[in-house]
Amino acid sequence: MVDFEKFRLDNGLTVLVHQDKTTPVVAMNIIYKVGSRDESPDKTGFAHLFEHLMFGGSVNIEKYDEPLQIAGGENNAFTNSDYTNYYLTIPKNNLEIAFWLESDRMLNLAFTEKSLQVQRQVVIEEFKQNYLNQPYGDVYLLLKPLAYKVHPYRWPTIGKEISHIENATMEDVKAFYKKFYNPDNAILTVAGDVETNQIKQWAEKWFGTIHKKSNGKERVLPEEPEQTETRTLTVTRDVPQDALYMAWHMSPRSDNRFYHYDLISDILSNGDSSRMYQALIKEKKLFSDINAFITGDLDKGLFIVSGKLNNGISMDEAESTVEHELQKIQQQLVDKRELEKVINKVESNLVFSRLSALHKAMNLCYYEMLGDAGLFNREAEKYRAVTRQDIQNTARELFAPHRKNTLYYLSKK
Amino acid sequence: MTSIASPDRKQMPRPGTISPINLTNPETILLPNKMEASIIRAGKEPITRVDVVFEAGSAYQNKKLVAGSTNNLLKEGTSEKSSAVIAEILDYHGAYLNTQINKDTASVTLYTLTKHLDKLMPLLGEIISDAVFPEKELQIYLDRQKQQFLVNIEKVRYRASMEFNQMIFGADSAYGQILCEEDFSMVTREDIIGFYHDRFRPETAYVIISGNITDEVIELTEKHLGNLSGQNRASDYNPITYSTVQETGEKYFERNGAMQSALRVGKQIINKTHPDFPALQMVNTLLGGYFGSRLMSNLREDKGYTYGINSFIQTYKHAAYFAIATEVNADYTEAAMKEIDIEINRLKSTPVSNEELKLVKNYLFGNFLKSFDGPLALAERFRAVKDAGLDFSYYTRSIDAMMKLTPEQLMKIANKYFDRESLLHLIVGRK
Repeated sequence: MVDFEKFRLDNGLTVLVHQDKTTPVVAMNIIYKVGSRDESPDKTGFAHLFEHLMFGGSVNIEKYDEPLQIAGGENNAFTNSDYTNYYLTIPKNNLEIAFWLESDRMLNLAFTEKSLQVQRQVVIEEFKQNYLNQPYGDVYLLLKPLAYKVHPYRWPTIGKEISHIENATMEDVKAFYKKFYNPDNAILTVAGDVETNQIKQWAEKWFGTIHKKSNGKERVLPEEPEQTETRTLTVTRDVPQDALYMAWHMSPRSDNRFYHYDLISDILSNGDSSRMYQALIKEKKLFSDINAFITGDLDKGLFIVSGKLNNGISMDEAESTVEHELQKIQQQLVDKRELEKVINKVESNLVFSRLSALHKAMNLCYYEMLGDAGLFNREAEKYRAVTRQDIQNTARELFAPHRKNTLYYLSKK
Repeated sequence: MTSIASPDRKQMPRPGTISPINLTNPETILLPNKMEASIIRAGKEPITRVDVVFEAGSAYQNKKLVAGSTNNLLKEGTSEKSSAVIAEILDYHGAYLNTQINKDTASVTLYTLTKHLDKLMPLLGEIISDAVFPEKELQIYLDRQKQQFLVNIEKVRYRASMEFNQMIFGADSAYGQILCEEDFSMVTREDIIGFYHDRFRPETAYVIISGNITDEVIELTEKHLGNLSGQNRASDYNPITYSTVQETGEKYFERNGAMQSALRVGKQIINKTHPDFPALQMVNTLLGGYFGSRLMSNLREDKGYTYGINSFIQTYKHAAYFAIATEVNADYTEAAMKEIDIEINRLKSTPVSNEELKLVKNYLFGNFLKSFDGPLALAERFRAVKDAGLDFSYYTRSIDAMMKLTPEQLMKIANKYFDRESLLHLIVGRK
C-alpha cells in the first residue's frame, strides 16, 4: 500500500505527497499532459523536442541542471504519445530548490535561438542513433502508420521524419509551451521523508502564483476508424535475420479490457514458461526471439507480436505457427494455474515497483493522470478479477483477422 | 486559499547541509559448506533478493563463450527437473532468476516475494548444485546467442566497444578476448560440464541476501545454499592474463554510409584498490561522468554533435580501463575527436574553478545517497565492492577523500593518467 495525500491549488495544479521515512533522497515527479498525439501531422516530434528545450533555461534561471547539481540532485525526463514526464531526486534538505526550479520552468521559459538550434541537432542525432543507424531501428516508423490512418499515434514520438525537427521554429515552440505547459495541465508528486504541511506551503509559495498562459481547450483527437481489412507491408533491409511484426488495435486504457490484453500478452510471452517462448523458441526452434506486448497508450493502443526468425525458416511457417498460438488462446479456455501464474507475476511486479521513492512518485503521478492515484494500490485487485472466460472473449475480439496489421521485415541476404 | 506574494525567484533557496548516511556493513554468516553469506536488512516491502556469486567469469575460461554458457544454462535443467518445469515454478511464483556474467564473476540472482522463498530457495540450491546442461538446451542457447551477436555487430557502438576491449587488454588474453561468429560452433557440453565442476564451488563463491529478512529466510539460506559441495577441482587453472601494453594511436574501422560514427578513447588504468582512485573518479566525473560534464556541455549542449557522450572507469579484479564513448554525427567525426582532446588537455593545463569543483562534489554526494535507496540498490552496491575484496567502508572512505580534493590535486592526477600518447583513439564509421 502506498499512502498519499492529495490537494489542488487554485490555479488547477494537482499535488500528491507520499511519505517514506526510510529513504535518504526525495523524489519529485511532474507530468504534463501533452505527448506526440497532440502534434500536428506536419510538425511531428515536437513534444519530445520540447522536452529537451525545457532544460535550456527558464525566465529566472539560466540553466536548469547546474543549480540542481549544486544541490546534489539528479534528473531526467521522457516523452511518449500521451504525456511528458520530468523527474528528479534530491537530498531531503535541499527539496525547496526543486520547487524553485520546477516552478520557474512552468512559469515561463527563456530559451535562446542557440539552444533551439543545438537541441534540434541533438534530437536529430538521437533520431539517427536509435531509429536509423542500427538494425531494425525503423520498425516503428513503418508499423505505426500501417496500423493508424487517422489518429496521431500514426507517428512515433521521435517524429515522422528528421525534416520536421529541422524545421521547428521559435514561434512553434512558444505556441506549444503556451498551450500545454499550464498548471492545470500538470500533476506534481513528491515522495520521501517529507511532511505534507511543508509540501503544501512550498507548493503554494512556488507554484501557487503561476497563472495559466492560455485557456486550454478540451483535446479533440481524431478517432481511429474501425479497421475493416487486414493490412500488410513488406520491406527489405540490410539486417541479419528476417523479422515479423503483427499489430492489432485495442480499446483505450480506461477500458477494463486493458487488464485482459495485458494478461494475454503475458500468457503468450512473459517469462521462459510462456507459450510462445516454449513452443516457438524451445520446441520448434523457429524464432530466436519472440515477444507479445501492449503499448499501454491512453487512446486505442496496439497489441504487438514481434519476432526474429531463425535462419532457414520460411516466413509462412513462422507466421502460421504464431497464428496457431493465437487461435489456441481463442479456442480453449486458459488453464486455471496458467492464469494464476500470470496474475502472480503482475502482483509481484507491482510490489517491486514500490521499492524506491522515485518509482513511487512516478507511479502515483501516472495513475493520477489516469484519473486517480489510488488506482496504483488497486491494480492488483483488477488483475485478480480477470477470469478465464474474459481472456477468451477478449482474445477472440482482439485477434480478428480484419484488424490485423503485419510488417514483414526481410533480410537482404 | 489566500493569495500570497510572489517569491524571490532570482535567488536559489539556500542549500541545506546534506547529512551523510550511516552505512553499516552487512552481518555475515558462514553456511555449512563454508560459503559466506552477507545479510542486508532493508526496506519494508516483503521482498527478498538473493545473489550467489561465483569466481567464474569469462577471464577464467579456456575457450570463448564457455563461462557465459555455463552460467546461463544453470537454469536449463537439473537431474530432477527439466528446463520447462524450472521456468514454470519461477513464473508461477512471480519470481525472477537472472544470470549475469562478467570478466571476473558469474552470478545468479533471485528476486522474489518473501512469502514464496520456501519454494524458491530450494530451487535455487538445486540449480546451482545439480545443473545437468542438456545438449538440446545448449544448442538452442548458442544459436540464439549467435543471432543476437550478428545483430549487435551491425551496431557501430558494439563494434567499437569490442575492438576497444581487444586493443586495450590484448587479443585472446583473459580480459581482452572478443567473440567472432565461429566461436559459437566450438563450444561442447563437455566444456560446460568441466567449467561447472571447476569453478562453481563454495570455496570461491559468496552469497548476499537483501530485503525484508526474517529468521526463516536465514534458515532457508543455510539449508539450501549450504549444501552446494565442491566437486573434484581441476588441479591447475589458467591464471588471469592480459597484456599490460595496450595499443595506442588512432585506429579507424570504416563503415560506408554510416550516419553516425562510434568513438572510443581510453586506456588501461588503476582500479578501486589504488590510492589515486577517488581522485581519478572525480576527474572522470568532471570530464564525462554526469549530465553537466565538460564533454556533454561541449559536444552535445554547445555543438550538437551527439545525443550523448560519457566517460567511465570499468574496474575488474586485476585491472581496469578508462573510456570515453559516444556516437556522433558522421560529418563531424574528426571535429568531435578534436574536441575530446581539447577537453582532456584542459583538465591537464587549467585548474578546475572552485564553482565547478563544488558543483561536482555536491553532485557526487547526492548521487552517492541516491545509489543506496532501497534494498535492491544496497545489494548492488555491496556486490560492486565485494568483488574487489572491499566492503561498505570503501564508499565512505572514497566519498570522504573526494570531498577533500583540491583543484591542484585533480590537475596532477589528470597529468599523471591522461598523457595523450597513452590513449587509444578508436573510430568505427566514417570520417
